[in-house]
Amino acid sequence: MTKLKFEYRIALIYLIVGFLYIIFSDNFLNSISRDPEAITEMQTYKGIGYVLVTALLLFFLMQGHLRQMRSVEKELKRHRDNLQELVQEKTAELDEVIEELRETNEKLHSNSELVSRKNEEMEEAMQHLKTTQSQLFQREKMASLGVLTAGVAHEINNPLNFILGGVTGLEEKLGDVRDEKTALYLESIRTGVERATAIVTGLNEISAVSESYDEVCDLNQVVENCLTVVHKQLDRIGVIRNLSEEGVVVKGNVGQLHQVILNILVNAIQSIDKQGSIAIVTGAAKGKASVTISDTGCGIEQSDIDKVTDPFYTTKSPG
Amino acid sequence: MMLKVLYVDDERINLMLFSAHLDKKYNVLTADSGADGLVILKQHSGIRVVVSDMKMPQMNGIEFIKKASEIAPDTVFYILTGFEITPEIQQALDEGLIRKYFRKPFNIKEISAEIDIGLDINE
Repeated sequence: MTKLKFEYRIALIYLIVGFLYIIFSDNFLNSISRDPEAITEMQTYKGIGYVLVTALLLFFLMQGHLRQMRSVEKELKRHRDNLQELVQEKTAELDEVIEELRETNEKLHSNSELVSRKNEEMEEAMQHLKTTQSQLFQREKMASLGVLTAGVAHEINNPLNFILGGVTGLEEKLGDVRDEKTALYLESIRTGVERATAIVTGLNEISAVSESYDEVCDLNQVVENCLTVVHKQLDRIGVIRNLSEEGVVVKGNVGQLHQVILNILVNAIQSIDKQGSIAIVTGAAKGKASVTISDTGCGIEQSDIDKVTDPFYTTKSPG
Repeated sequence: MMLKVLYVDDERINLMLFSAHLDKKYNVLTADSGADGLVILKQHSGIRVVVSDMKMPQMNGIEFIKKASEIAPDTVFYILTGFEITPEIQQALDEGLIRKYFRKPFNIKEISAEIDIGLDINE
């Protein structure tokens, strides 16, 4: 059964009480008196009594209802306050979480920076390793080559010694008494032995393996040795020597200096397609020695100039 | 009397050529090993100059000259080598054990001239 709303309930109770009061009080009056005058006077008291009773009734009904309402309202207010507090509390908590997240984010960000920096360092180290490896490989190669050429040079030097000693002896023995052909034969032997000696000497110097940078390097001799070695490749190329007459002597590593000059010469030769020339100038000025090698070859692109000292850098196709 | 010069080399032809070229000027003695060279140094007094090959079996040129200089301290020593100058030769030069080193194939005129200079300085 649905509960009646307060205003209907109060009106209903009022109606019932009113009717009951009127019926019962009239019956009561009629039972105690028959005198109309007395009844009329009693009617007045009955009216006052009615007002009093209904006033009391209304008062209690209203009081009960209002008390209930007030307590609900109080409860509501308390809830509202609680809610506000709760919201504030939760907001503060959320702020904290956000702050934490922000910090974590920052940390992650700086971590990722660290990682990328470490990565860069690793790459650099890797590059360095590669270069060192290639240098070691190159040095190892030159060391083996050095041992080989030194051995070969020594073995060839003895037979060269026989030939030179023999031809010198013959020249002395014959003196000026030699016909044209004998002179040609002797000259051929001497030229041959001298050229072979120059090649062996050059090879020996080029492949010399030493850690010292305090060796005496005769720049003109270095250039000549290197030219002797690449002699065969110079058929189609003219060489213009402009070597300092006083000679240029520096301290350094004889073997490595030869390799540098040889590499530049080979590069110059390869840059010349068909015919051309290579000019070599040695000199010294203001306490500095210089070797200038220029060629009529294809040259190096301006944009590639910075890269010429990079290990492995080449514009040649792979293979 | 001709000056006595000892030449040590393990190559027989080198010994013969050296003698053939210089025997008019010097009294050339030859040995085909360091050990043999030491024996000759002990047998002959007055050997003023010793020229030795560097690379020989058993005893190399510098090892031979070290021992030889004890037997004949007033003698002038030279090394002949088919190699580039080695640290061992450089050290011998620095210490004054040898006066100079010659390269193979050797130039007889250069050696002869150097021997004459070396002896002048020594006297």
